[in-house]
Amino acid sequence: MTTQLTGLRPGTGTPAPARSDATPPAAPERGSDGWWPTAVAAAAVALAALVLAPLLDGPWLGWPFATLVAVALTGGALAQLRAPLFLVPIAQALVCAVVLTAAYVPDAPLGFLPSPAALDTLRTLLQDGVAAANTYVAPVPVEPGLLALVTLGVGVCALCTHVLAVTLRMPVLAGAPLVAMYAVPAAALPDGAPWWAFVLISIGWVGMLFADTRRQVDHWGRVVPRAGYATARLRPGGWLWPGIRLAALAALLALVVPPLVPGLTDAVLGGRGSSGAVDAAPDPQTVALDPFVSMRRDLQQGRDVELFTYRTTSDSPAYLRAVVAETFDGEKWIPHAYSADDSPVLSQGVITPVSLGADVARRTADYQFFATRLASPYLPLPYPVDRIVAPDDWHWDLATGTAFSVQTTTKGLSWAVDAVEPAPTLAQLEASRINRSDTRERGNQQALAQLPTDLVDQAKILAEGHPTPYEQALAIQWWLRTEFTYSVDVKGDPTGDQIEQFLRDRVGYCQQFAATMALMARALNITSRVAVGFTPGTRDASGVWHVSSQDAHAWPELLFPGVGWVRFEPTPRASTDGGNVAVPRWARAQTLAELEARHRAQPEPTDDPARTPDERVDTDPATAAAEPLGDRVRRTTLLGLLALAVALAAVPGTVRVRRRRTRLAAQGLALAEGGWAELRDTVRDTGGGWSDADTPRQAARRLKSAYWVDPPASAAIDRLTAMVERTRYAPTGRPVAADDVARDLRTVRAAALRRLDARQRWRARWFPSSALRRE
Amino acid sequence: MPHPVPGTAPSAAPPDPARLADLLPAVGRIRSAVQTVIEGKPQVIDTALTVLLAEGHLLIEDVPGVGKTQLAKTLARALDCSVRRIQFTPDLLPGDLTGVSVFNQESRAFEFRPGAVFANVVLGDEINRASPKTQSALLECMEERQVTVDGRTHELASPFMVIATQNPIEMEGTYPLPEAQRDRFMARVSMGYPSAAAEMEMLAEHAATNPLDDLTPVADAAEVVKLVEVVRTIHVARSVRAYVVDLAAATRDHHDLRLGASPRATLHLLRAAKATAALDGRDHVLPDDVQQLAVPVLAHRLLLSTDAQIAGRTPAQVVEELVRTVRVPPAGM
Repeated sequence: MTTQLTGLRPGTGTPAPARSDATPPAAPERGSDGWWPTAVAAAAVALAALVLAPLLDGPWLGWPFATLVAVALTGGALAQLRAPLFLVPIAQALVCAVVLTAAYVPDAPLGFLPSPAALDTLRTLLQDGVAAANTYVAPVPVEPGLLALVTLGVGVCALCTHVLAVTLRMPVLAGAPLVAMYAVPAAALPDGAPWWAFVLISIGWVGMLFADTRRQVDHWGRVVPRAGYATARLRPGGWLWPGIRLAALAALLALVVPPLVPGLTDAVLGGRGSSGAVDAAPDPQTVALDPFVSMRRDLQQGRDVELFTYRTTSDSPAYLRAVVAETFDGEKWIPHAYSADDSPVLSQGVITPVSLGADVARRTADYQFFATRLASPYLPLPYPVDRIVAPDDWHWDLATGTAFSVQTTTKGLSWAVDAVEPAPTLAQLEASRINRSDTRERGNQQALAQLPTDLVDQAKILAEGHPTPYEQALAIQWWLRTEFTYSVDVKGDPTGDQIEQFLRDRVGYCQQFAATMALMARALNITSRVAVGFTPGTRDASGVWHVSSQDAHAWPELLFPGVGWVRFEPTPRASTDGGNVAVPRWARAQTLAELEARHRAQPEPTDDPARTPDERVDTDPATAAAEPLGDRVRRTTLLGLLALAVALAAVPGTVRVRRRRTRLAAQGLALAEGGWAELRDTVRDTGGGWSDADTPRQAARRLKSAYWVDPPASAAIDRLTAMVERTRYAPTGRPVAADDVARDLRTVRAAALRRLDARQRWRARWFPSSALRRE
Repeated sequence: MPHPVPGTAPSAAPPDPARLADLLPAVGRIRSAVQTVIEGKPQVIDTALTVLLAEGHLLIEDVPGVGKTQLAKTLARALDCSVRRIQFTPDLLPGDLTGVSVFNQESRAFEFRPGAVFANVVLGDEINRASPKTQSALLECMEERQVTVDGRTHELASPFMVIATQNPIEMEGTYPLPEAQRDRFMARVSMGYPSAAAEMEMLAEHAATNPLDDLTPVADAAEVVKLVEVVRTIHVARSVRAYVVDLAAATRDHHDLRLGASPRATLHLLRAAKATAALDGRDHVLPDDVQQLAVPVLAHRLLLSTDAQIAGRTPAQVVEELVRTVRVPPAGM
């Protein structure tokens, strides 16, 4: 048997001459769509992928975009080959796995085969990426695990977009994967997604709508209504105006929606800028470090002036403290009152570390400092220290562990330090309890009455469900890191009023974060202070660390009896090297999550026997708001995936409804053929058989004899059959009324559904098999 | 003036609904008249009428005694037109069919004496009992509707229809029809044995009298010509024409056939489909019409391969298979 049996015939390549009744030309074959829809969908995903840029610090575009191209080429090629629909996503998923393997598993078979071992390696890598995403604050340094995660995300987005926009021809729903991509920066960035991300997503989505509109119009033309069916003229290429209208609507939405939607910044209409009112820049030759004012000025000034350098044997240098503020007078933090009379000079002997518990593990590290432009009466030092080598005119303050001079500054000074790097264990920190006999406790109590009421209330809310001081401190830190926004463009000093404003606006910089956390700790009877100094700076190739004015920083230190003063990091900012503003190992999000999980596993008795602490945590919105960033991203992702799953589940039913409307909206021959196709799909959706080799009359006989004996349905089938026969074969077309066709189809569909049980009816409505067939 | 080749006239003008409406009663009268004699064979009668209106020739093949000749005679009797019956025998000469030129002593010139084919309806009884030479004498008559004797061409009457009967070729004393002549018959039908009820009724009513004697003509030649003209105007959509071509082409590539359908077969199938559509009161042909006629029109022209013959296949089975498998082209192609 040859191809004749499939209906092909010699000479079919010759264009069919126009019928005398001006029958509209048939739609071209699917393959004639070409690569245009695939290219547009891929471009939309590429634009959507760019919204991840603010999250990542380092080059990352290569493999994600290679995956995107590979997935798109696979889908496009299969569309050209008219492969079965279900093969397209399978092949694309395989290609995605191959590219991921080739990129991130160098020892895979042949370098790219996703063998079980290779997939296991890939899975481990992706888990590392998830852990990195949960650990770091954006922008996150690019590492292989995170890059693999991003590559997988882009690949999955490309696959879903292609399936929806190209394979199923549903560009409207294809916006869902793009929005899922947009949800990542929206959830992870403190300011939400940047304004241009929404524009990029919109451009991609509108592009897909544009391409789909063009495809439809190119296939069918636009009917000029004045001519009517018999003499209708078709005008291919008239896709411009619908596209322009869509684009205009989308642009309008892009401008209007962001200010109305939480998480979308209104910066597109003129919001906060990066440069605000800056104090007069000081002479960089004489930089003085005032504990609070000068630090803010250093952060705000445009130029980044190197202040001092150092070498160290430590792999991860500590923060370098200069000044400590221990006293809060009800309005602001006051730096410690340094007195040379009460402080020994450094040359008098070895310094004993302050308040470091004897059981706390420690390591030592050497530091050698040289001040270049720093002219400060305070020595930047790690904390705590064992020994300092410095000139005699420098004094050591025993209470705060800082060095100062009343006679000179650090300009041009060199000094050396033997530092101690404490490594308290989680158990030690958990075991620490507040010592009521501590003298500082009484001072705290005195200051507590002067604390802002909102701050005290918030601190108590955050402490609920967290039984130990250490855990309460973690809760405060992560609440500040996740719910507040970093910006140096804040006026005023961190006085009491400023702290209230900070709590209200939730925008500030390190000084306010540190002050607020220290105060909230005091509100919970945890002894605290604010340290001002520098982050470790930047290490060059020769191993020298450079500290500049932009590294000025403030952070809280909390006292845990038995452990000592412990640094926390409530400021949600990461610098380019990822090491400048670092969350201490004991204060990471996982630690809090582990502790909470431990409480859930071992519920402790509470004041209210009817409720466990976990229930309070879960039901208290304020406490829930303090969940780690990783959980937010995970929850957002899950919600996005859930929404995507719901959207995908609704695809078949939506396709059917859309096809039905399109068919019944046509005229003349297209309406008759559409009505007949609708009858065919109804039969298939309800489990009936349909042969494309049947003539309309044979199909009608088969339906009436095999499936429906309902007289109204039988009559409706006869009318539909006569309609399609006349439009196909009669010399002159008879007007076809869309209402009649729709009514007959409803009659047939109702009769067909009556044959089915409830489960079959549900499946016929929501998962119609005909939706997966090409038209 | 040469007789127009049937079915070649374009059907650009749509059929006149009034003339189409007139066709049905006339055909109904003929059908009823034939059914008074041939009982229980409506499909065979309809096929015969289809061939008549499509200006074709009918070959009735079956075993002796099932009413082949009766059908032919009845159809001829129902039409008030000239009818000639030829009993084909081995000694029948071509001149007996076409006519001969005889020298007239008085006028001292040759005169043409028309043969048996000079009639509106020609009954060729047991056509395969004549020699191939005599059978071939019908070729020109059937296709060109004219006879050429001694260099002179004589046109045949209009309408002109050959209704031939033949026994299966396995019967003794038969010669198989040449392929060229089989191809000139538009359709071949088999009478088949009557059902028990029909046979009982035949015994009751036909034992004493011959119903053919009571049959009176219900239509004349002029009326048949008008009906034929109406059939010519039946509309055939391009997709239906493509379907006919697809069917014919499929026979040429079928592995069970060594000879497929000719272009003449394609033309016959289309013309017969137009007649069927007219008999159904339609002004257009459906693919169903083509399918209905595929076996009667195509099967007798096909030659089975040796393997298919050994396997016991028949051409009718092959055609039925093709009808099931060849896809009807979509509208608008």
